Amino acid sequence: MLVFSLLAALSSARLGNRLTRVDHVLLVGIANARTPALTDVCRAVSGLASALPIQILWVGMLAVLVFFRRWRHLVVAIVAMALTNAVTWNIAGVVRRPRPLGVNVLGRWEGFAMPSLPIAVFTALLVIALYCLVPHGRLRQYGKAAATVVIGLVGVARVYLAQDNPSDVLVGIVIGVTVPLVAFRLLVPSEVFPVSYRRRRTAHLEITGLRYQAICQALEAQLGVLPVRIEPFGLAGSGGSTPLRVTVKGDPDSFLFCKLYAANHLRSDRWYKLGRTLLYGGLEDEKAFNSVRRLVQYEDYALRVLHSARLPVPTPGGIVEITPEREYLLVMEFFDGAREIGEVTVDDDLIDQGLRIIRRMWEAGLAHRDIKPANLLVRDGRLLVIDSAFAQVRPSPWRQAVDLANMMLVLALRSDPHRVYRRAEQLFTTEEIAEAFAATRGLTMPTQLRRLMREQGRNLHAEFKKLLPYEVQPIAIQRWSWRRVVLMIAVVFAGFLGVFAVSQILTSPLS
Amino acid sequence: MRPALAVSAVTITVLLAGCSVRVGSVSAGVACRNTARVDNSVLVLLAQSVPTAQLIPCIASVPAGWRPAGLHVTNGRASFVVGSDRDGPKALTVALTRTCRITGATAVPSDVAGARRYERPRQVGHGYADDRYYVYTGGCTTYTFDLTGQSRAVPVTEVAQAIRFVQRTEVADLVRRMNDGRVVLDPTPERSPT
Ligand SMILES: Nc1ncnc2c1ncn2[C@@H]1O[C@H](COP(=O)(O)OP(=O)(O)O)[C@@H](O)[C@H]1O
Ligand SMILES: [Mg+2]
Repeated sequence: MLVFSLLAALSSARLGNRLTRVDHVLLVGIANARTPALTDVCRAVSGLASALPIQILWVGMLAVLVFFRRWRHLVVAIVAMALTNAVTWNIAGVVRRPRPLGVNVLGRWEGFAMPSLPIAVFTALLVIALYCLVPHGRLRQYGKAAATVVIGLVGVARVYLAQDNPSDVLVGIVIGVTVPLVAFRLLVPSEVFPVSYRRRRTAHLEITGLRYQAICQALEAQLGVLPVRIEPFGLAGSGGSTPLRVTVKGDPDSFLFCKLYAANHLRSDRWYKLGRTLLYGGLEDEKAFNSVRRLVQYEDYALRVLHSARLPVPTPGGIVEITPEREYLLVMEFFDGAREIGEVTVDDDLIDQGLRIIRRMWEAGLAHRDIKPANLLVRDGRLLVIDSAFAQVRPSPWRQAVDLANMMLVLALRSDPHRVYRRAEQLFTTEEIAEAFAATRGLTMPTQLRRLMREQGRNLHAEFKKLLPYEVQPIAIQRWSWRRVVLMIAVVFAGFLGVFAVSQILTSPLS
Repeated sequence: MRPALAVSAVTITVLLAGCSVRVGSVSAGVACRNTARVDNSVLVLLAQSVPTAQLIPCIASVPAGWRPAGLHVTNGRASFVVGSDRDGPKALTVALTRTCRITGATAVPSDVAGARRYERPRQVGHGYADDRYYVYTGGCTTYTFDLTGQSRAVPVTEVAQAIRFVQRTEVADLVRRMNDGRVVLDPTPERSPT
């Protein structure tokens, strides 16, 4: 509002001229006080608000925001800077004020003078930095004082060098403060989105404050258990959910394993499936879930099916609603004292158990689809399967074959392919094993499995293939459809737009 | 905030900001005369960019089919563009600098009082057009042609005739008149030491 009334006033020539005269008197006075030493100092200070320093600060700040995954701050910072720039340019284009008149201009300048673009952008940058990087409170207050001093010095230096009229600097400061301030106060209030320097993984939700209480209350009200402790558990092995261990009051206290799902998991699921569609086409069911409730219902259902097929999975404990349609908790038995298969020695007995689990799933018409070390636990010599998120009923033979190959690869990671292969021959025909390795290739293996094989420096997949009595032809897994083609084009287009936008964002806000 | 929403918000603002910047600078044409509606701050700005130049180029009248298409003024260099749909969006770029390199250009009779004129042929699209230089006290103005249409000779003369020069003293008079004699364009030497 202030800016626009100012703009209206300035474009009226009379006031413009009066302002010019006031500015002129000040400028001439200052110019008469110029000394070579002072001029050097002012050149250096005014250089702070030039393209390169501003770009360095800008990109540095964006990098910090990306590193700490403060996406909301990042978005608002970019929007605020773009707006400051646009507002300043457009006002300058309307007011069309020349540079200071009647004095020697000593520094660089570009375009019309009112409002001062370098000052507006520099001020906006400091204000944005204060709201994005400095935690709310005493520190930010000090920061504001420091920023005021710096901006004041740069402004004085620019007036001294006659790069700007005094009033150009003032209007520049007003714009540079107002635009980001309004943006941040409205869109990222510090009370709701505090600036903190703890780095966290996006997929995992923090269990603190209100959410903690909500989970406690919901568990009590819906399952009738009395939680005494809720803590993150097994984050390292988790692929997408927020796994929790809940200590339940009793005699003695017992544990429950819970997986918290929220909208961000829904999104990862969507991206994951979009990625698969692009890579393979409609190879399997790649329909994304359209609500958190459905996502959790699916995993719970899959767990129940696995459980009733008498597979060694945790006993299902049902679903607890934390916030309707937004946050749900999947509850199941906690395998106390179980360790991931990667941490134990794998003997023939475990190998047999693993293979029998696959055989059992085949018989029951099920596929797990995420067989990897993090999803296989061992307790008291018993192999347990967890994580039914991707499990499927009546899968294609191809998918069943992939499960077998992945299980054999996991088992071989901690023993050796010969042994696993020999044990497998007892339960599966050579054709079945051959089919499994024909079906499996890099991308059908879970990322963790691939990474572990790479770390061991072994191509277990090739080693298994060599053990087969004959050579297998890889099964083609590419499926083409219009949907995929259209999606690919859309992604390429979005990619171009993205590259363009990013290049725009990273260039100096001054240019 | 939903990521899709955020990403589109960013993209849209960045694109919009980019466009509005262009609108802001394009709309300013460098008109030679000062009328009630066309204030001549652009001409003043041009004069400021090369404080020594005694002649300042400007657009006397825009021929039918042509339009001012860009203005970029910094300390030391000012340029503006005249374009048309027929002969190219940047058919003529006029740049004012303190000096310019005229090696390889030939002197031709000048049509601007107080300025020497040089021309250098340059390939333009499928034909040729001469880049033109006016060299005068304290400054130099370069015409760079970038024609895309079928014919060359006609548009070159047409658009070149639209450009005139005004004396620096005239611009100084204008500044003084607009401010009741209390503000001047250039500092008097003794009043502002460097
Ligand atoms: N029932 C359970 N008992 C004990 N630990 C478990 C149980 N289920 C999972 N975990 C641990 O939690 C980690 C993540 O669980 P998982 O179901 O795989 O989640 P995600 O779907 O996020 O991958 C596992 O790697 C494992 O270490
Ligand atoms: Mg998992």
